[in-house]
Amino acid sequence: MLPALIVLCLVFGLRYPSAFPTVGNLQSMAQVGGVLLAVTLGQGFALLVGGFDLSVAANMGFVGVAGGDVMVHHGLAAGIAVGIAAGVVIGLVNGLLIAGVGVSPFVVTLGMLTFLKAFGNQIAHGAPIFGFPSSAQYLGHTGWGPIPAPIAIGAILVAAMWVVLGLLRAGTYIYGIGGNREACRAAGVPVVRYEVLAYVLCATLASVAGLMELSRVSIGYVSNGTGDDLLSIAAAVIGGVAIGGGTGSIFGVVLGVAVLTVLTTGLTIAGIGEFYQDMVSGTVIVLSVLVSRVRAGVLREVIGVRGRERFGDGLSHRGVTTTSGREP
Amino acid sequence: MKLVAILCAFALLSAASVAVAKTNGGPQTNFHAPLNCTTTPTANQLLNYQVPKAKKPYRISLMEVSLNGYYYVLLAYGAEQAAKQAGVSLRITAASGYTTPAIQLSQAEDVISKGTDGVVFAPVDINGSVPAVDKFKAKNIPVVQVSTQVNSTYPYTVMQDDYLMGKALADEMHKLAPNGGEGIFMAGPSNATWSRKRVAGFEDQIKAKYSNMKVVDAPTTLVDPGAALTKLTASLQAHPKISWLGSVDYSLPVPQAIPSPYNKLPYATMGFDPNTQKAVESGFVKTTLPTDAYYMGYLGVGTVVGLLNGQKEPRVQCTPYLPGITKANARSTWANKQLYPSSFHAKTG
Amino acid sequence: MPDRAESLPLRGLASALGRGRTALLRATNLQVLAGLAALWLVFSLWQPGTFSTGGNTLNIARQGSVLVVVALAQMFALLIGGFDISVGANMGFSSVVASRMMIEHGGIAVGVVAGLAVGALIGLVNGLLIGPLRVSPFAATLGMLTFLLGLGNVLSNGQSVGGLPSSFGLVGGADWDHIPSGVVLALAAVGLSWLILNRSRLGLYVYGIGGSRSAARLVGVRVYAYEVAAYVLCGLFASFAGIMLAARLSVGQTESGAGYELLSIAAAVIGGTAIGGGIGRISGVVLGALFIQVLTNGLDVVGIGVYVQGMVTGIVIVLAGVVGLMRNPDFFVRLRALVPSALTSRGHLRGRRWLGSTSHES
Repeated sequence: MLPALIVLCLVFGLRYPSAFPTVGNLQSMAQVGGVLLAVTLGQGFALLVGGFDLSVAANMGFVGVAGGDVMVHHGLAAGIAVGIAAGVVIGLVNGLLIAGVGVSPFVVTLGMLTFLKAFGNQIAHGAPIFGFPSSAQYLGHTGWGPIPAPIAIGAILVAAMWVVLGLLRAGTYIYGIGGNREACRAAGVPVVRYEVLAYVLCATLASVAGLMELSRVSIGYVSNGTGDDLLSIAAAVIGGVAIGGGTGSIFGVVLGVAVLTVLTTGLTIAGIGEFYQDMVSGTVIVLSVLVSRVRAGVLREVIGVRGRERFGDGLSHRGVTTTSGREP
Repeated sequence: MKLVAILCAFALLSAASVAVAKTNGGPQTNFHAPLNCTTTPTANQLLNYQVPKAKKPYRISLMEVSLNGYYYVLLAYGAEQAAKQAGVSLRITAASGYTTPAIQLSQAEDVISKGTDGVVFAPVDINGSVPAVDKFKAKNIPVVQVSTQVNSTYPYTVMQDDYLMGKALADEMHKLAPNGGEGIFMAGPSNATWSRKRVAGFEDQIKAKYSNMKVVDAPTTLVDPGAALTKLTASLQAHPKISWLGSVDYSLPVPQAIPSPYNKLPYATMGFDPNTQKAVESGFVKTTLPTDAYYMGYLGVGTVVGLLNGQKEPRVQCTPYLPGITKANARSTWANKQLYPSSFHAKTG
Repeated sequence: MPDRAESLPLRGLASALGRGRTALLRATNLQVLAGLAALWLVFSLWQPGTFSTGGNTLNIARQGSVLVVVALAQMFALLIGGFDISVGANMGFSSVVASRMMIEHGGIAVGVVAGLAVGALIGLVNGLLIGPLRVSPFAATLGMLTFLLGLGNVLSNGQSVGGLPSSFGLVGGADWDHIPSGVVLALAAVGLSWLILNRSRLGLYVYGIGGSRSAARLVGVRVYAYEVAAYVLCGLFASFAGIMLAARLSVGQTESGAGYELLSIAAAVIGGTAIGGGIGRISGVVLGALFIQVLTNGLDVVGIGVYVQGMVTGIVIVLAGVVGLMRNPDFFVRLRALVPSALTSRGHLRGRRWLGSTSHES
């Protein structure tokens, strides 16, 4: 995806030399991309263990309302604490139902999404939450020096998650569970515990993103984060994280977020309407997966063998079917 | 082989359909026209408007497209105040997020099941909401449409004129930036009639009267403050030298979120809520045109009660242009009529 | 095509994995039916004058018939081991194409055929991506969803396509002599999918492949071809639902199918269709769709607030997933097997007591 990112930057940069390759635009893309980066990092964990989380956007909106309300009445620290606690609880519920009870991630996170949206509305009664303490702007509105707050926080999160995935035992287990759950179980890995941990990290990062978003838009609304559920999955997939688990890297996530952010910013600068932007995004999502399949030799094999399949099961490539551990 | 042949036939057929559909224009609505109002009460007439006392305790239903947003809750508040004064019961229906024609039609059927004597109806789509109106028409239940129009002659109408509001906003914008120059005008969703009418009015007025002003970009965005902010920041990169900023709605984007130094530019918008009141007072918003959701709910219920009482009501009532809310009158009677008490919660069911 | 001898072991396999679980699935149907009856009873007692009336029953039938057809569409994708989150966008897109063709190019028949054709094409593209090209169902259908929303709005100028011939209402909107036409069409769709799934080789292979891809391959089934076919059927049924919805709304609109992608999966799962493939019955899916419709209508009619409705719906979706697992006799064994690992784990897994108690109750 790195070549794709470079090509995109070159195309937009050469076509719009006064608008795209500027410090101001870099800052503005970092502001937008930082929030998406936080959600996508979280989504990456859910994807790595072989699931996904459709409730991240609803989570962001919920935190915008619940955390925002506490922030207005009891200060910044309390708001952040409540927001993060909400994320941990949401992740625990998701994780226990998925990893512990064995319900499909689709059903659990769809239910969670529906519940959180309604619960957020019930709390806010449709009105916006506003009047945050001025220190809240350092979560996503202004810069830490010249660096926009969202990307600064995003960078810290990237470093922390890199430590989790690369240096801690949890990281090894999370990759392992996504790669082959049964083998991990046989090897004595407490699979449930680490799968739950992945969903907790996912939801907590989404809540952090929710706090960043409420600061960025200066208001707490249930609709905060709208679209980031699918966008985060798309960004992760573009960055080479496999739906179905086991494959993906922090660098890939960062790259995927960068590609998506550059693409949407560039298209907006080019004055492309939202309908055409949708069409482009949809195509990019599918194309990026196809590219990774070409690399994996899938196309060659399909074309070469003329439709007859090898006997090996392609399961590791496919989404839900890999969760063979929870098939009845 | 047979399968492949069938699949190819399907592919050809559908590619042909899309190509044929593409060649023509598709539906065209004229957004560049004001409403045909029977009456346009003045601001003072509205303030003095009395909801008629109901002859019987009618059951009135208010069908909204959403309750997630200040505008919708304020409309519900206006309706509830009117219902109290008329002595009727009011039940509110809305979708958990934003409704669709399919959900609205099902809810209309459910409203009839629950039993209702009259309906205040905010349509979700000009054509897609027609079957819902037809359901009420079939039962002879009077309907007053508020907020936006539906393509049917059956309902009575209480509405703000979005096209003229767009024009009025251009006047306000010109007052704030008399030297003109380039500006960005933030639009709502590309498929929302209200937003397209406001944009059309704004652009028409600038073309007609203010040749020194130019809209260099009018990015469309969902009604989502985050998405709007993202669009605005990208657009600002393409047009860094603007001298004014306008939008069709106070949350697109939230004024306090506009990045510096652009938050110093004159910004005019439409609609009002407590956060916008603060933004007006602290100078993030120079002028905002009230959208009068309170009176749409209030007049809407009043009109339904009048119809049920057997009175003659005007077919199309347009709410008046209220003076723009600025720092000077941010807490005036008019401005406060655009807010509901924070203890109010619109209850659906 | 594998010859008869080759397909025999598959038949055995399919019946062992899929349709063979008839007893279990019958039990599922009974459970859903009992749930439906309970819902009906509660709502009837709550608001006897409004819920359990003839008029409201007809409303439920009208509202539910579209959902039944989308859920059947989704069932094909689920049975083969994937899912399709583009069905809602497909509905809206096909309704736009059908409406424009109907108005501008020669009437209802042309419109309906064009709508079904684009629906099938959408399914074909999904199927090719997911089958031979091995893109995950989520990524493929997410890309398709996003793309269709854009193209549909381009084709309709972001507006609803109205002014359809009034007789089009008979294809899912109006009543045929007191019987809602949507119900008749939904029944036809049920019949058609029954023929496909239970009386054709295609159906047999769909169950077989969903049950075990590698076993299906071993006996010589061209897995990719049938996977594509399943998604084409999914796309076709979804566009059929989109056309029914357009007839009910008297417009084609890009967003009109919004929400049906998730509702259809929920309906299928409540009706006992397994995410992961190979298991599910048509009767279950129909009951699942009815369950959701009665719940939605009932909560609305008895006057529950819309946000509480949302919270209840979310909980019901998850509960349905849990109950779906409980139908499997292995479930409690697996749950119990989890407990020791949870108990021995040090630290942060707060759910262990909860897991323990669940296992204790069983």
